[in-house]
Amino acid sequence: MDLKPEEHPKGSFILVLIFFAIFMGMYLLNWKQLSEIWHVG
Amino acid sequence: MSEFRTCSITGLKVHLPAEKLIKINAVTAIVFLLVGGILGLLMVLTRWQAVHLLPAELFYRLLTLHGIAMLVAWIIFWEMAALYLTSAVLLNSRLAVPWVGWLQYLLMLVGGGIVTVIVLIGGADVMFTSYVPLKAHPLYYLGVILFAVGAILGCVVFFATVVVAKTEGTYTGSLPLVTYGAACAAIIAIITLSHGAIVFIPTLLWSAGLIPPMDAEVYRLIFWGFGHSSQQINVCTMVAVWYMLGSLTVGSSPLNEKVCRTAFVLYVLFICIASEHHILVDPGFSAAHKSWNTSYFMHLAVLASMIHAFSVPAATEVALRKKGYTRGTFEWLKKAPWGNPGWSSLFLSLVGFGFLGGTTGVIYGTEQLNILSHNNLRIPGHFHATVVAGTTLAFMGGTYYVLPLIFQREVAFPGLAKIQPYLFGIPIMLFSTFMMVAGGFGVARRSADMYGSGGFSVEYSPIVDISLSIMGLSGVVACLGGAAFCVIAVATLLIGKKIS
Repeated sequence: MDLKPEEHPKGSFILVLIFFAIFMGMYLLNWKQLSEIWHVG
Repeated sequence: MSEFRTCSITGLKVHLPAEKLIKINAVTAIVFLLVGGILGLLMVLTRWQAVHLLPAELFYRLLTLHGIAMLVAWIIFWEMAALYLTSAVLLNSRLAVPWVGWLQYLLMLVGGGIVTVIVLIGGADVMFTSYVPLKAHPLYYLGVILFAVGAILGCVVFFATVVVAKTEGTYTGSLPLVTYGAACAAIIAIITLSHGAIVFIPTLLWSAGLIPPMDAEVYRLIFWGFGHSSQQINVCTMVAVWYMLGSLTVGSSPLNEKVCRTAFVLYVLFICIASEHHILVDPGFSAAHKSWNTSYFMHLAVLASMIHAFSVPAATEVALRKKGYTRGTFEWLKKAPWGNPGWSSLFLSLVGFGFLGGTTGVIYGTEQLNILSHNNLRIPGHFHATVVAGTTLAFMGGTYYVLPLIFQREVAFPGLAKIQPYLFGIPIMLFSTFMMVAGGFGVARRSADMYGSGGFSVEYSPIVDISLSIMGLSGVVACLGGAAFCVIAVATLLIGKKIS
């Protein structure tokens, strides 16, 4: 699909970055919780 | 040709036998949604510890039926309607073998009816999973088998219709993306429902006293090929519905169809393997087996979801930008048709499924992390985000288009329809979130009394009470949102203005 510069989906790209940041944060929190329960953190 | 009508809105030819089957499956789906929703309200009012409505026996009985009505009946009946819509209607074709379609409907209805009655009379207090050696009445297993066979027949009709459409040249080129997605869902459905038939036939024979009990570990492995993979049919269909809603609401088309189709193929190849995370704490399988299936192969299905997670909003963004909403980064989002229930359902479904359901699914399905969530409220929190905030909301959005296009009636109570996706979607996300918070503090799932009624007692953090209260309140509001959807759908059928 040929897009003009102003038609590029910049907003969706930022939404996806926010999604990845939340995903990583939640992942890390879970690993941290596991390490505390197993006393290896 | 008299068996066709031309849709005044889309210009598509609609095969009348297909239309009848779409209508009957969609209406039955909504009836099961209503039943499951009422049971859901009772579940909420019991797990909300401050209310704690139902006694234990009734709680487990109705929880069994809630799971079946919502996870299986509502969704698979709706998917049967979607299969006929995306094959016969979208391909401008006649429906192949409509009588098999009616057989599908009858088998699913009879099977679903038998299961409902048996559970209600107390013949199957075995929960949705019906793990052996818990034993239900043989008719319960027979009902599930009839339902599964009926759904397989629906998939057969879908593929036969695609072949008919191709042979008779009713469409050119590749299958439309939505039909392609539905085809992938139908393949997953056949894999899934075959697991259901395989696991429930010996269980039926065992329940009838004809063969010895099944090995519990083998049962669990095969059962989850049905129990969880049935939710993967939903994921695949939901994504197809997202593309359809994007097209219908803002006129979007995928930026790169080949990539989207590849993502659907990844679902077919790898998503059923995700069901193995249910056996992550079982001792019978090796760590390598568990890791390969849930931490490597499963991530290829997650990759497919990641592709769709960018592709769907990006397609709608481009469509809105082409309409002139190009200022800044998010003007397109501000100017999106938020009053259109199809759009709001699509967007809330994307957020609920992606941010809540998808992320937690990957995290909880990781072998080491699974021990934090196994059998506590984190798990139902996760799947209420995927199946309710994600799939159910997307299907509700799809229904707002099925009503005028197939039932040929204007949606009743348009003011209520505008707010219904918010009334349902936002509370159900809160419900899921706080269910997961409570689970994180150790509240068990599938438990009528979190404080223990079997001779033990447990103490919890005060956060648990707050979380369960928010969960309870938001669950009640979500039930009202679901009831609003049922009222709108039924009123549309009964008093909705006829579209000529």
